[in-house]
Amino acid sequence: MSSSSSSSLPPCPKKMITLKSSDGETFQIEETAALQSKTLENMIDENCASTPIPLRSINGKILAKVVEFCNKHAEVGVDAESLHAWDAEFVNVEYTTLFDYILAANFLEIPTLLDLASGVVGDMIKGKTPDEIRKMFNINDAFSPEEEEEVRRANQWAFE
Amino acid sequence: MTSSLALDLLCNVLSRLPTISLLQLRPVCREWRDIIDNLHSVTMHATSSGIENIASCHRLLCFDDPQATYLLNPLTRKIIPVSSGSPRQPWWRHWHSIAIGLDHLIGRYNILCEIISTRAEILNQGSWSWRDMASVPSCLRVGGPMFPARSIH
Repeated sequence: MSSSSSSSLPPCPKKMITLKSSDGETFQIEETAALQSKTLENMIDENCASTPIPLRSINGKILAKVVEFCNKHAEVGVDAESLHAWDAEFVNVEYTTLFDYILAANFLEIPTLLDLASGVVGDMIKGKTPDEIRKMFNINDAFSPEEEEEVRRANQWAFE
Repeated sequence: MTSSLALDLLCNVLSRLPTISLLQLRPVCREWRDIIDNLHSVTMHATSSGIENIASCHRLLCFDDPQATYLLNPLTRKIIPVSSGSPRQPWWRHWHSIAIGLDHLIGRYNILCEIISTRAEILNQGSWSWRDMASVPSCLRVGGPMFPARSIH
């Protein structure tokens, strides 16, 4: 008499895709996490994700963080409050890194990351002087002092 | 390390700021001033603050509440209430649209109030008075009016 085995099905192997940064580092990311990027989703849909995907505008340091972000946001069962706290920690970085996050999120079309990083840069801008802003954004075409004063004055009210 | 942002990404960041912050940022440089003055970003601000009936033309906003119609210049924060042209009923808010346009011939603004697609009033900036429009084509939906040759299109 043969004993019937009641072994459960083996877990379905997770589909992984490989991303390659501008400086040649490769990163594995689960397909379910990668789907947060519309750019990657399109590539997956078009069966273009079977070989490493070169991301020439994103370096390894930033891509590692982007993969971390996508993994966290793909986790099941994370409550909104703890995800919010995690996000706050994630964007607690220099503004230049936030710019990199924005560029990467824009290229990869990850709206959650784009919104998060853009919001934090917006908060950083609030209350800064024009001089501080020019330094922060590497702006060289400042107004002359006379022009700046002109701009500071209230605009002419259109009905006057 | 990125030292700046492309225009569209910068617009995205600035559009999140309150108007008062934007005013303080106009002197940063020409590009920022132009972005901030951009009518679209100003309009996005107003519409995201919950005002229902709103219209814009150049840098002016026109919006209303059950009492009156208002004109606002967001950059100077000047606001002018324009008395209502006709008594407003409780249902008025839900069936009412407004639009503002510049009459290029006389260089003045006109405000159009449309009520339930059947009746419209027009306020001329020169006379500050409302004028009933005798009839409104049933297909008229106020949205983005143009005022070429002093007539509404």
